[in-house]
Amino acid sequence: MKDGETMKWEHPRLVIYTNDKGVILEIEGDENIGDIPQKGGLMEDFWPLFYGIFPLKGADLDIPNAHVLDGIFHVTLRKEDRRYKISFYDVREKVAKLEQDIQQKHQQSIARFLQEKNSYPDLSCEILFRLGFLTFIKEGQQWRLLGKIPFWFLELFPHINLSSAYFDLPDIFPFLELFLAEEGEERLKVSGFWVEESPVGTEYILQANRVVYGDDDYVFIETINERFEDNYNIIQFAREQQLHFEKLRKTEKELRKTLDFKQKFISIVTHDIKSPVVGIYSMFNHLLGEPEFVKGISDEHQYFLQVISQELQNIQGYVDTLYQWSLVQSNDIELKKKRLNLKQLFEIILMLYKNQIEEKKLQVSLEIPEDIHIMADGIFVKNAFSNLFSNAIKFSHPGGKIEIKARVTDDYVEIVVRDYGMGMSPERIKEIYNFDKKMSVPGTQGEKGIGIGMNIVKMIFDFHRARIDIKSNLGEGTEFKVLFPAIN
Amino acid sequence: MVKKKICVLGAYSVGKTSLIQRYVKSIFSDKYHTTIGVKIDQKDIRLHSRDYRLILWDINGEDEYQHVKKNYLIGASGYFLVIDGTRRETYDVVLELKKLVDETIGDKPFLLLINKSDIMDEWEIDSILLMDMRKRNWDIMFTSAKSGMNVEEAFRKLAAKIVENE
Repeated sequence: MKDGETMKWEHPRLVIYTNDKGVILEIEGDENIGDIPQKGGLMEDFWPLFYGIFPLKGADLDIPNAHVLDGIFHVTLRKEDRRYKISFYDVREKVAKLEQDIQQKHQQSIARFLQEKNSYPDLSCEILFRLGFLTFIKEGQQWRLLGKIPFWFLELFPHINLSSAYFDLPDIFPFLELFLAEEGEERLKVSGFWVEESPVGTEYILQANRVVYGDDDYVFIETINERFEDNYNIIQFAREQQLHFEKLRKTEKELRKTLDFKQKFISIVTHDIKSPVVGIYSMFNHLLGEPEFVKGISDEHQYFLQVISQELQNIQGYVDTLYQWSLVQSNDIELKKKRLNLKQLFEIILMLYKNQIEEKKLQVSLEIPEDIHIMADGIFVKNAFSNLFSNAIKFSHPGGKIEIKARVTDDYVEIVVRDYGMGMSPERIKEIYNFDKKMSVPGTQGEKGIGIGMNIVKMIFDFHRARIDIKSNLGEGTEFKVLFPAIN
Repeated sequence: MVKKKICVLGAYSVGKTSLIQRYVKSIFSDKYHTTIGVKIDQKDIRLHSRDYRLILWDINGEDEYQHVKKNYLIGASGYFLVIDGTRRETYDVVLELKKLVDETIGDKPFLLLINKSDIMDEWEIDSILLMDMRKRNWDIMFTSAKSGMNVEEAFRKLAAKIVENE
């Protein structure tokens, strides 16, 4: 677009040429125009109006009616070769004329409104009434109704007759007492919201507008229920949600407290029971090993004593498991990790289960190289692997085979405990770590368990950042693979 | 009749509207209905052989969605600070509101109402918190808009304090 096409004004009063950064290169035109910048200066330093304009993006730019140089100018920016031409056209006269026209039209409109109001007071408020406004004008210290009464007022105050006299508005709307007493120069003031309730319980949210025009003082009251409905619903909903959330948080807190107590209780009780049980079991076994003690006891009674010993061992196992479970559940574990030789660890486990292995005539192969180590808490990890191994024994058929293997990969130490016994269904594998499901399954010879073992095993491995995978098929046996982070 | 403006302030859902409804209309609804802006009720009472009209300003609950406008407090002769006994955090809101009132209208008679006293088994106001309230030398009353417990008494007590303060 060329200057001539957009501008009626033939000659700009000032032309400035700049580079693409807004640095002034050349100035042409009327030197009496007012303070003008110097060459080498930045346009934006002199006129902040030009801040951010350079380099001009896209098409040419026109800034109409800019108040610069103590006047009003139409400013055009045009790119010419490698520089910008900025022209200032004086539009003061044109704008003055425009202002005059607007002012005149405005005054005519107001005069027409006042004329209509004075001639037909009811008619002038007809539109406001149709828009749901209740309109009052101040006369003396009181207020007089203008126009008709909207439906909402009739519903709120069926016994107030507004058309008969002057009113003290705060007598009807106490909320307005403050609003009407507010001082200020503003010609238009808008109140906050307030709620009025009808005798039948309908609530209206109201808002007042006060307009002071010349000597006249108006109050327009409207109901904003419809306009406010969405906002109201959002606030109501948000607060209801917040209350629900607070309730949930409180319930959760209570539950946590109860759970903590339960876990602490179990932990304390099992810890306290552990020592006497171990003591009884040790002393009882010691007695059974004393020839003097068993000398006069019949075979049947010796069998009973063996059963008692076995049961005591089971109780000790339960107490151990419960104690560890309570520690794991309450995250009360302090792992004392150290470098453990894996082969030695499994040799101890095999020793512990020597009797059961012999009873079931199982073949156990231990293929762990001497130099494999893991970083782990010896007590917890021994219990976790013992649990895997005891399961292998439990679910192996008499005369069956159990394999224990380990190897080192780049990132992991891989440990496998494999049996060829009963195996598990896919459903059972899915639920094996689920403490909520009662999963205890008797072994091939009716061996019992307390059904929380695998849950603990998984947690113990989790604490060690180790991963456990299960492969199993019904009737074919089970393979547990544990991946421990390798020691660098 | 002498008019006295009383503002009822507190966090949302502490029972401000319910307390006023119980006092003015002897009704109670379990349903939570949030107050938008201000709701004004009036109640005429007789104190020391004189008639008073209490103009009760039920001001929207203070939270992130709505704030108490300072100019709503102007002209108040006294006020209630209401907390929900089952929600500890409503006490923190009251502490903030007290500051706002003091800054806006200065020292005026007031009562701290610990509402929802009918469900004390769900309370979060423990003895330490109560001690903190008492240390401030605040006048405290335990109320229940649901059962009506101490509601009439609280309004009469505040009105009496206002009259004494004149």
